[in-house]
Amino acid sequence: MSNLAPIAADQAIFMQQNDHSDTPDPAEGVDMEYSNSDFPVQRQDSLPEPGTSGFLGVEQSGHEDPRTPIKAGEEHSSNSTYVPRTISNTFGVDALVDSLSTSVQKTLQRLLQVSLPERLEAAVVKGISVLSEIEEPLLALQRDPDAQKWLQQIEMVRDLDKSSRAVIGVVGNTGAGKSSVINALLDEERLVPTNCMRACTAVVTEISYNKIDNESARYRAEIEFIKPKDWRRELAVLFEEVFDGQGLSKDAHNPDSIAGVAYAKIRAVYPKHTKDMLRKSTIDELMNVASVNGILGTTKRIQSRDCANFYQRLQHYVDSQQKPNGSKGVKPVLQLQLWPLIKVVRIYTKADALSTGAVIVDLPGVHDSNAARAAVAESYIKECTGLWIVAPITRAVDDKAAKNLLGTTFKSQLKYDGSIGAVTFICSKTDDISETEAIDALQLKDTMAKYEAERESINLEKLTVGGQKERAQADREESDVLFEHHDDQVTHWEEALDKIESGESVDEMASTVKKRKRMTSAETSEDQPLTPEEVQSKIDEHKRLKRSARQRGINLRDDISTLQKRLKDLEKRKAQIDQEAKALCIKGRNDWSRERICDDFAEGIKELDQENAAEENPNEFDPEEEVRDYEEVARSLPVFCVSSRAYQKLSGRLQKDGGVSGFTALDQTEIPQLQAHCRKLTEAGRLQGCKNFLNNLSRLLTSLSLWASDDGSSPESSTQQRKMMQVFVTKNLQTLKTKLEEAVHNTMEDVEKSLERHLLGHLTAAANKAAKKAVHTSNEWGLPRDQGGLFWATYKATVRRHGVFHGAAGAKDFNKELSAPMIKNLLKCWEKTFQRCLPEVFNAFPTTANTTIANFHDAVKQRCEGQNLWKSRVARLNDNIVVLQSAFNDLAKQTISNINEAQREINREFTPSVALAMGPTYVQCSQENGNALLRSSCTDT
Amino acid sequence: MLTHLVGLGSFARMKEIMYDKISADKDTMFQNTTLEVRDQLDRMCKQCHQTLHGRVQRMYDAVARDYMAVIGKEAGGDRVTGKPEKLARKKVEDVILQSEAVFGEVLDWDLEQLESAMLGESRRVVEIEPEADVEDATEPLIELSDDGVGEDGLAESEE
Repeated sequence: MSNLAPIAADQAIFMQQNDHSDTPDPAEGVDMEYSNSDFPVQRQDSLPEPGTSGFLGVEQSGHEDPRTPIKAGEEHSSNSTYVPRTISNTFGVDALVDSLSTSVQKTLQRLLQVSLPERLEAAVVKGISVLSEIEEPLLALQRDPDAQKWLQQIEMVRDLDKSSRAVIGVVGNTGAGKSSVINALLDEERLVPTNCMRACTAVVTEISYNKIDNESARYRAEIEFIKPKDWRRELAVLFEEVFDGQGLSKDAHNPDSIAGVAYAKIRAVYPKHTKDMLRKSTIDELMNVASVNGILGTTKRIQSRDCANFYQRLQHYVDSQQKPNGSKGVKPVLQLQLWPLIKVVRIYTKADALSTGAVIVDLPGVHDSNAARAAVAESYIKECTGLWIVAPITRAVDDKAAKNLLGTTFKSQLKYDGSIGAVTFICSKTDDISETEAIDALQLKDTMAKYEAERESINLEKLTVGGQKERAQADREESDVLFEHHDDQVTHWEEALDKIESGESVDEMASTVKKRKRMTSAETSEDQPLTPEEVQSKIDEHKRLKRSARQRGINLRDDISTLQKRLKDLEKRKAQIDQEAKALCIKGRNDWSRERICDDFAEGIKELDQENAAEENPNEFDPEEEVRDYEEVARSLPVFCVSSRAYQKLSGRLQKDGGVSGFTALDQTEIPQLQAHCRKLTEAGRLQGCKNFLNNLSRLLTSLSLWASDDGSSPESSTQQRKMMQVFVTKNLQTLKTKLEEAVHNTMEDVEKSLERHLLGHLTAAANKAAKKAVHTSNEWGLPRDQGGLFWATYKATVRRHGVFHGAAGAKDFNKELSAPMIKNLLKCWEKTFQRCLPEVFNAFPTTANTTIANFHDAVKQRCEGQNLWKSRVARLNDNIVVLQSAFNDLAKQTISNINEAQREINREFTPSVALAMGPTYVQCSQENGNALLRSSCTDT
Repeated sequence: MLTHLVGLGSFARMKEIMYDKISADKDTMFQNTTLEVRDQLDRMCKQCHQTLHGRVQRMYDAVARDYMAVIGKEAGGDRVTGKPEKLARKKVEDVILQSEAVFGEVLDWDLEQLESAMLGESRRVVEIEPEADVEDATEPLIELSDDGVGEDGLAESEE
């Protein structure tokens, strides 16, 4: 209940203010709504947007939590509909809200209707500078008590300008690609530390925007270690697992056994302790080991300008893999590993997706045996504005991940928390696709036919063009040979001509030197010597043939080049068609998966609802009756089918990896859409924060303008008139106060009645059901293994850990199992009470308050008009009424939100309370061991 | 007798204890749980009542102050006489009057103008202590160098 602690402070302020007279001093008690600072983070989408019925705030229909669309039909059929009390007007005049006059209030009012967070944030910036300007002349009046009070009020309004944060929890099984999705979301190749942590260690990693503008601290991390007392407690349990009274348990070297897991964890932290050293050590001695003692309870900080360096250093703390140290065959140096001691890792980075206040929390899938770490994970789940579930698309639909991945307990928790609408589903690895399988599975044959036809025609054309190219190449080779031949001939005959001219004789057969040399004297004697003219004619002829061969070669080269280009074009076109076809398959599978996942999710919720309804009242259970609009549940589930790898490749990262086909634009990877979704989740909180600031600013400006415009020199009224008016206003203020207090009182009375009727009345019956099942449940744990019972070591490990243990066989929580019938039985009425009944009561409050304040204002206004006095001054308050009414609406929303924050704490009380009651039993059970029994058996004999 | 005792291991004893305890405590255990939940819901209502009451009271106080201010101070005999006071009030009034245009401008801006208006602002930037003070003063801190793992003396050191 720590988050409600500030309420006490609120009350203290109120107690002080209660002592004030009905005519408080100027500048005192400007209404400050500390909605941003009083309570932890506002659950962004837990509050409905204001209705459209005008400023009077009659917006009952707009107040249903969009995250839990419960059917309206049930409201009429059930007897739960809240009928607000009637409002009487004791001010004697009809309430009329004046049309807005031109003023700063009017402009601020218009801004308060804006839904673009950027516009409101810009208005807040302007507001801050306006406050600074107002502050200036006031600072000069150091001795003026009014000025000092106004300065305090300005500071209080300024303090309301706080950035909000929206926590997004990301869950997914090992291998779901959770880290890759987060890295892509953050636009980093590798930032999130991956932990292959076995040994049931579940470290939470929180990633938020780095607000420090310092390049050397571009990436920052804080590694918080568990407190000494938490490690001492865990160490004691681990020791009990590892040493069984006679020495090291024989299971200690089996990494999959309970003792083995515990031993690995101890060895990670005390690597230089041999098993004998460990056996002889006491917990105190181990706690005093300097390297461990020095780190427990501390927070380490790392910062770097470079992501790779940062990742490497962070990974050093988080990774559980013992790195080989040194060359092959050399025994690795035993290193102290810190992962069993880490409580939480917080990373700060300049990711655009986080710039508007989103905080990504990488939640571990396993339950942790260390209570401190388990509590961290649980507190994030309570705070989550969004819950992202990551599953690989190849398995998401087949495994019915949307329906089954969360598990009944988790889904029940979502219902208790009213967080069903906070879920987002992410199908990862959409690049992992087999076209053939996709075409068959998604029946895309017809759609793909045109691609197939085009592929075939391209293949045919490729064959033809390829053949043409081969022929052209052969021709070209031939023409090259011819060219060479004629070139040789030209050279040869030119040499012959030279010889003739120098008096030698050359005959026809001397076409080549070699030939001539091989010829016999008889053969040459028969040849007639050639004349120079004949030789010249041969030269000319070969020159002509040479030119012709060259020209043919050139022509063929052009042809080949054209054919080559054509082939390349065809290849390109084929690749393009392959891409398009694959993209189509990916899109087809994405669309199909999206639809199925939405249906599965709604079906999972429906099954749970029906199970609860049947459990709660088996005789009246009607499976046909739908308590929720499941189509709406399905429709409103955001599903993103993403490929982190394709996104990274298209963004120029993952250089060492091969290409990813089927993606040509970033949008196809759906990561940009997921980034936008991430920013969108912060919108509600940002809007709420800005509106709260602007509403308070508007009221402060009104109050200030009344004060500033009164210099005491107004000749408008006589002292007598003023005194009479003061009596009138005081009397009406008293009535207003009584009416407002009455409205608060009535609201809370109705809340208590509603609570009693819809929830508290069911508690005893739920407890009885749990009591009835308790013995049976506990007997089941002890059944023989083949009948579903626990292995003795698991049973023992569980009782040693006060009923909670996560072993190789999965998680076991005796306390949860014992309290489950009670939780299940109350689920329906709990959800109904907090998601519908109580919001109905609180939403009726502004109607009463708004009408009352409007009636009061009109009474004062009519009096002023009747007396023809202070008309312009009271007119300044016309706009303020609208602002006040808007503040009352916000107050109701804030109260609903606070109630939900509180109930999320309380609905988690069932199991801890049972755990507390079971504590002595666990202690007694865990003290039993074989040796003691043997001794007692021998004695008996 | 011996056979009977040998068959009874610690596991059986554990189960026996569990059975006995749960059989004996089951009714009170769950009833106490409901009492705890009831108690917490009750506290939640009380705190909610206090918060709501406190906030409405503060809004009322502001309303009371504003409506009394309509009449002016003379009724309370608290006249504003000093020149600096009058001057300050005039300045405040002027700023408020001019602020209408300031906010009106924001209403007309397009997204680009809104973004550029936010760019130079440090509104959402929190003050962070200088680098030298990064350590948490209340907690011991082991220094880490920027050059890589191992240099903090942790990797290979032990006691």
